[in-house]
Amino acid sequence: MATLYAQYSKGQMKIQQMAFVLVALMIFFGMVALVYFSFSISNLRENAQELKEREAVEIVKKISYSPEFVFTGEDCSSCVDLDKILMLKESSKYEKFWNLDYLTVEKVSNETSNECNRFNYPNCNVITVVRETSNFGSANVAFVTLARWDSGLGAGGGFRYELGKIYASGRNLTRR
Amino acid sequence: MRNKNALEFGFEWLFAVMIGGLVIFLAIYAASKFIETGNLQKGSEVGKEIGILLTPFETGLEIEKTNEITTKEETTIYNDCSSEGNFGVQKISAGVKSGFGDKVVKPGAISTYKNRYLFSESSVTGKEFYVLSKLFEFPFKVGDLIIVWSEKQKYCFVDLGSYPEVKEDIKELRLKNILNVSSTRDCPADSKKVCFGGTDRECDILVNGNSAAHRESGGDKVVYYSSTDNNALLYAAIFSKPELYDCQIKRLMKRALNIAKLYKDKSGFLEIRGCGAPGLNSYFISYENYVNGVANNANNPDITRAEQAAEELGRRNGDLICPIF
Repeated sequence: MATLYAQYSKGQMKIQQMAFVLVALMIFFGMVALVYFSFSISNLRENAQELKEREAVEIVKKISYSPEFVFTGEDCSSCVDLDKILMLKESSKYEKFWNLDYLTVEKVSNETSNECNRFNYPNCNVITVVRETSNFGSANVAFVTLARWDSGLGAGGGFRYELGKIYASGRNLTRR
Repeated sequence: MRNKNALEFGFEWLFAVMIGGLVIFLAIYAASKFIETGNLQKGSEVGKEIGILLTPFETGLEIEKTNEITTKEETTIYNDCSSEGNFGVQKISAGVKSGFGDKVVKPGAISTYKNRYLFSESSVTGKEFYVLSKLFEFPFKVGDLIIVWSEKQKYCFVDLGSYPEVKEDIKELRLKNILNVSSTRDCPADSKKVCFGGTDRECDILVNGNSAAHRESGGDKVVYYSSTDNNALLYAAIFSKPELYDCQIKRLMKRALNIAKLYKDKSGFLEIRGCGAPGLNSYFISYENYVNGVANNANNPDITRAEQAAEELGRRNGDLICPIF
């Protein structure tokens, strides 16, 4: 019985070697690219998160001067107008106005948290203007002076000033 | 006869050259794509950072202020605006010059803001950006106008005789790259000539009455500004591309309408608590009609049409014992 032999020339062997080297090179570069992309995506996420936090910090620092918050009475131009903020809470147009997931104004008091509405105001202590999600992370906080009209103050009523806090959390960049 | 010294160029060589070429081509392509993506990422981050940086530039207790933004590499800020929706949108993006060649790369991702009003050319390039923030009241606070130009843009203000407050601003706010001269002949060749009054043919922008005419190749483009707001809109009209200015005016008017609604609601709410202003309602209605007309004017929003209604509303509110704003 005749035995069959496969005969390879020197050239064929070299081509085979080259093909193996090429495949190995491709796998190597693929892995390098994979590692690079995983690092760069994680870096990008970190940067995005950092920018989100910085934006929320800057907004919370300046929001008391925004036209929707600012108290225009001459006695206190750096106060926020609580009566106006209550109206703001009712306006759905402002839900996505600031790039925020959470924006709340809170009166500093010992009482338990009680959300304000037209009926219990001013016997309440929290006005939530924006709450896009319950998972908004940690909120930045700034102390402000809250000003509101109090009909029981003085003869014909007057403005009452109280200590308050504004909480804000930046919009999650994965949500639009 | 076979030459033993000749170089053998068989299939192996041909194959090696082809594959080698392909690998080199792929490597160069991948490298260029990496650089492009890196630049886009950098541009997106810079665009967002500039947007964030503009927040502290907004006015607080003051009515105007100046600031500077300095970038490490030459940067182009792209300013775009849309007046659609309840508040319209401010779009900001940036492109950072790449390490190779002189061209400025494409802008990165667009950052959007509903509460910003940026007035500038559609793109501003440089390493140093000058920012002038002005409070805009109509008659209550509506927003802050942020006017931006770079070290590469020079403005030549001609004949400020009848605008002494602008002259004062240039001096007191130390506005950079703005010259105050008496004739267009004194302006540097590479500057934008802004003439206050007159009809000089050499002027690029002609400020007259309550309008600023931008001389463009296709004809003059006129924008209108209000004279009741501490010259805030005058600066915006000069430094801004006319189309951008008109878009921002519409956005400001839309925000004014929404704030007026808040004040109206507040007035109704406080009325039962002894701080109402029912007499103000008719002035609010008149104000809303005029402001709505400007906000929804498709071609040329003329803010001067709503100026009188705004002044009247402000006056009536000021007369109240318990003012609403």
